[in-house]
Parts: sequence; C-alpha cells; structure tokens
Amino acid sequence: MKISGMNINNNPLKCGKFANFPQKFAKTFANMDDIGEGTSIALDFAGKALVVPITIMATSKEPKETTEYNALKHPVAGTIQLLIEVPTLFLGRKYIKNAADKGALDKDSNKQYNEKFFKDIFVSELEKSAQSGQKQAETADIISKINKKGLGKKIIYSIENYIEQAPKNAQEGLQKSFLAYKTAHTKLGHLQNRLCFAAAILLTPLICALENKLHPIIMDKLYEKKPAQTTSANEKNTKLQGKPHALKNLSIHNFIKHIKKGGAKQ
Amino acid sequence: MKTPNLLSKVANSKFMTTHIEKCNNPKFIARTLLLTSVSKDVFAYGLRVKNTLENDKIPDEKKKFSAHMDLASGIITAIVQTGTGFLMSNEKFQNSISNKLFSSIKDNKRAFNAAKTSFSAISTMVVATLFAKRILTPIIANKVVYKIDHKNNDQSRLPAKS
Repeated sequence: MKISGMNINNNPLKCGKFANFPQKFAKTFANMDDIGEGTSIALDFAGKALVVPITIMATSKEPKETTEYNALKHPVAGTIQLLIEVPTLFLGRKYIKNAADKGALDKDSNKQYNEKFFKDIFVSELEKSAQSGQKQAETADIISKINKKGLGKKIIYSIENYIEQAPKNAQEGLQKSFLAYKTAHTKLGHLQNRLCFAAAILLTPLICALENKLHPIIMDKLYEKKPAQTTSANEKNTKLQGKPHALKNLSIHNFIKHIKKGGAKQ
Repeated sequence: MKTPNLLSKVANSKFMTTHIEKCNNPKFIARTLLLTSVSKDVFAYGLRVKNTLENDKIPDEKKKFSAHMDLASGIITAIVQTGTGFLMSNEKFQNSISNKLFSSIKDNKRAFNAAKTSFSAISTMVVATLFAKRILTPIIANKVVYKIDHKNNDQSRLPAKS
C-alpha cells in the first residue's frame, strides 16, 4: 500500500486541546519576568526535594528503611535552606528598592538605579499625552497597574502598544521617558540579584551550621512517628519499634552511605 | 560606614556598573546565574570538608573518606555544571532551539526575543542545577573517590621498600 502522499490530520498535537499549545508555551516564556536569584533558589530546592530522592529511591541497593531515610534527608535540608534564603531574598530586595527609590544609591546626577525618579517622569508624560476620555481611562489603567504590580513584561507590552498609537507630538517624550524608566528598572533588578547572591554566600556558613543542628532533630521526629503508626496496624511490625534507635545509632554510618550517594548539605 | 553608603559605593563601583551594562546580553545573564550558583555550591562543599575534618565524632578512616567525597563533589560539580551550563547557553545552540520552539511567535520580534532570553536562562539553570548537579555529580564523584580510595588501600598493603 502506498502511503507516502497521505495527509495525516489526526496528529494529537495539532488538534483539540493541544492545538494552541506551541503558542501558549511560547507566550509563557515571552511573558516571564526577570529571572534571577529567586529562580536559582527555586530550582535548587526542586533538585533537593524531588530529583535527589527519586534518584536515591531508584538506584539504591540498601534496605528500604535506610534508603527512605537517606532520600528524606534532602527535602528536609532543602526546606531549611529555603526557609532561610527566601525571607532574606524578599527583605533584601525590598530594602535595596527602598534605598534606590529614596535616592540613597544616586551618585551626584547619576540616578541609574532610581526607578521611582524615572517612573514619576514617565507617568507625568503619560498623563500629558492623554487628551480624549478614552485615552485618559487607558492611561489611568496603565498607571494603576504599574503602581500595583510594578513594571512586569505584560505591562511593558501594553505601554509599548499605547506609545505606538499615541499622537506623534507626544510619542518622542513618551518613548524617551519610558526607555529611561525601563532601563532603571532592569538595572535595579540586576543589582538586587547580585547583592542577594552576596547575601546568600554570606549566609552559607549559617545555613550549614543550622542544617547540622536541626537536621538530626527533624529526622528523628519523622522516624519516631512512623513505626508507632504501623504497630497499631499489624502486630508483626512491633519488631520495627527498635528501628528509630537503630537509625539514630547508625547516623554516621548513614551519613557516609548517603554521601556516597550524592552528598546534600549535611 | 552606614549601610546605604556602603550599598551606594558597591552599586556605583566600576565593576558593578560594567557588569550591569553587560546584562543586556541573554548569554551573559544565563552564564552569570550559572556561575553564581556554582560558586555557592563550591563554597558550601569547602565548608563541609572543613566541618568534616574538624568533627572529632567521625572515626578517622570515615572522616578521610567523607572529606574526600565532599572535596571530589565540590570539584566535579564545578566542572560538570560549568561545562553543561556553557554548552546549554551557547548562542548557536540556543538560536536553533528557540527557532523551533517559538516558531509560532517568530513574526513578533519583541515577544520572540523575550521568550528566547527567558528560555536561555531557565534551560541553562535546569540542565546545570538539576541534571548536572543532582544526577551527574554524585555518580561521577562516587566512582572517582571509590577508585582513589582503592588505589590508596592497595598501595598501603604493599611491603615498604627498605
């Protein structure tokens, strides 16, 4: 049977729910806001919470309890790290933005990080450009979005569309002030990322020390509960009651075995 | 010196200003993110080696193995993550992937470039921090340390030359 000329229309990726998938996928990436230290922390946590336990569970030849103990260590260590790094990142970024907005990072007439200064100039240009009632409503909407959410990718697209349709005499001023605002916003974002990275490096000894202290406590608590639940279900499992102590005694042994398998922060 | 003054000095330093100017390039952003992540890991592994060697509760032979393992992981994670990350952030490679993945928005140059920048940073980070760091590094480090330790043990068993 000759099938070379056949036109296949039932490709699952080109019909039904998946018809718009390539466009949606592309738009998701196009609308993503600045990727920085936050993404790095989130991916590191995903690695510790998901990838390492799955790898250990899939490849380990140790008894089930030991494998489970080793695999669970990583999400616990990752959570400790996350609980320290996320608030630092959040508060650090906020502190740097406030300092920049107040002009504390200005150097003489160089206001490269002062987002608020350039935002105010752009907003006044935007208000000046709106002459009709419809345009005034449009600019009010843009300004309220900027004030609420900051300068995200979506709002950047709508501002650029607005400028393209603005009257010619207002276009130049709008373009100039928007470029200055966008540049200050981008520069401030990069500065926040680099300074938060420096903070993360400074915090690493503290995170390592806290993990060393908290980790055994959390793991012991997790393993104290497990056998108690199973004993009520089955009398045979009463043998397991000694296991938490056995695991406690084996902690260095487990530590070495675990390191053989990957070495998360210990 | 007050904190805002120190911040202002760092933010307006020649190094920071030049670095931030270069951040317009997607490849530069992806590689900066990668190198900051690698340097954090290497520093943490260094700390772990120090902590292990100073921990008197670990028996000597286990202490040596554990420190070797952390040292090997630190070195290997730096090489593997940097290698895979640089390969992923390569301009030609990213261009060919982006052209295929984002062909549906190719007519809109602004959206296409934004998607390309985001994808370059995310794919570099995913390959380096998930695949290289969490899967490749432990496998390679384990084999390297196992070989080195066996070699050392074999040598110590040989009769000493007089």
